[in-house]
Amino acid sequence: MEKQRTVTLTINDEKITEDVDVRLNLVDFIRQNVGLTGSHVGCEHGVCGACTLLVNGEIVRGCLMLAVQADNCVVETIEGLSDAGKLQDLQSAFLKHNAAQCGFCSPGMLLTARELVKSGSATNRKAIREYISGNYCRCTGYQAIVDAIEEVAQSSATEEDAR
Amino acid sequence: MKAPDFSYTRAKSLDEAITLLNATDVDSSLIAGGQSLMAMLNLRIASTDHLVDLNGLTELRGIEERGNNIRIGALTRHSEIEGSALIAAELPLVAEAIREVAHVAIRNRGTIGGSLALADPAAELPACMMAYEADIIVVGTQGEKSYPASDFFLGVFETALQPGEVIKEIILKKRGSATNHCAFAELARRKGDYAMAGIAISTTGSQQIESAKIVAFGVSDKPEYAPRAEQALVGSPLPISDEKASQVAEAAFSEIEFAGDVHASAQTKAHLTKTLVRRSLAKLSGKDS
Repeated sequence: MEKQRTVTLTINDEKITEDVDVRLNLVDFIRQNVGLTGSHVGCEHGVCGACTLLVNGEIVRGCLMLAVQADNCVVETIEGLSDAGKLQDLQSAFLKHNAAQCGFCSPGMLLTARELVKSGSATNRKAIREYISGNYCRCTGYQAIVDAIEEVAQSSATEEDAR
Repeated sequence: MKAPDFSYTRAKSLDEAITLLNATDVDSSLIAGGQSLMAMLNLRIASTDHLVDLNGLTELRGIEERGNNIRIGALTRHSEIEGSALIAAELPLVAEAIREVAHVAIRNRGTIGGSLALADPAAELPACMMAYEADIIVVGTQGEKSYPASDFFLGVFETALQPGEVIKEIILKKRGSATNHCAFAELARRKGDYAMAGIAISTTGSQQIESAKIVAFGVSDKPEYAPRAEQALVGSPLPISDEKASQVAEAAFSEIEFAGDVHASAQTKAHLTKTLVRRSLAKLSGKDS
């Protein structure tokens, strides 16, 4: 029955070991302890998607996981994915279509959009809207975000066909 | 907001989890996916002295065939259910319903055990367990117990679980043959929301309905069977006629005790239930349709 625990996790390819309060959630750990503030804290109850992170290759809500639960896990954030070039197409499309205004939703939105495009299920605008409906944007009205994702999904589908 | 203070133990075995849960000197709660519990702790509408983390317990994981049954471990993630070819083939109602549970990020962590233990009246999986007449296997200090899903959900966030019991696995009959049909329908204001009204139907019989389970969820304090509607459906040839569908829908509308909530009044939920029963019966189909 611990109040503090040592966690070891890999964050953007870097192994990090730290003592943390057990009630510290993962996104707060990433932001405060690791200093990666690209992941954002919005609702803190799992609905807004601003805290979306990759844990062991899957998108999760960083506000609904405890840092201690990520022990021995591989975590990727917007910073790591962006630096590794894994979001290039989506980021270019977001810029082209003006899909970011304040940018608060954008990291979570990009991570979710990447999952969507990878899944191959971005077959129409309705499907896109439904998939990203767990990421709230207060600025853009979503139209430009859907435009950007649609463009990337269509060009990746074309590449698939061409192979 | 941030969660209130608690201590934490990562259980290394199911026995350890049960021992900790039953300790009288400290109030403990189980955490699995945490997709509801962490939200409630963060909003400070729940609190606990001690979290017992089940995520390391491999004996609670796994989707497997056991003869004529399918076994789903309590710690199985919604996303694992969604991606399971076995469940798509043998439990088509569950395969369809799971796509309506929240969003991808939630489904990557949330578990079936957690969903059933929480017993949100508007949740999809409890209704499916009832429609499929699943057995929920629970472990406590006295050993294993089996609860039929039909007796498990007692009220808002209230189940037959006794203090100190842990859901271990769920056992369901295979429903993949051509003699089984199912239908699922849910109305929510936005994709991923809890249901404003929902229907889960499971039937047996290939040319005509031999038996039926109709479950309405999101419209009362727990998922509800509609036994008179089920009776009205038995004997009907397949596909279900519009007239029969309306008759069955009307029976469900009259017998269920509807309760309103912040999303809709009881009358609205009653109307939506009738509509969803009618629509569901129109698409009552086997896995090949």
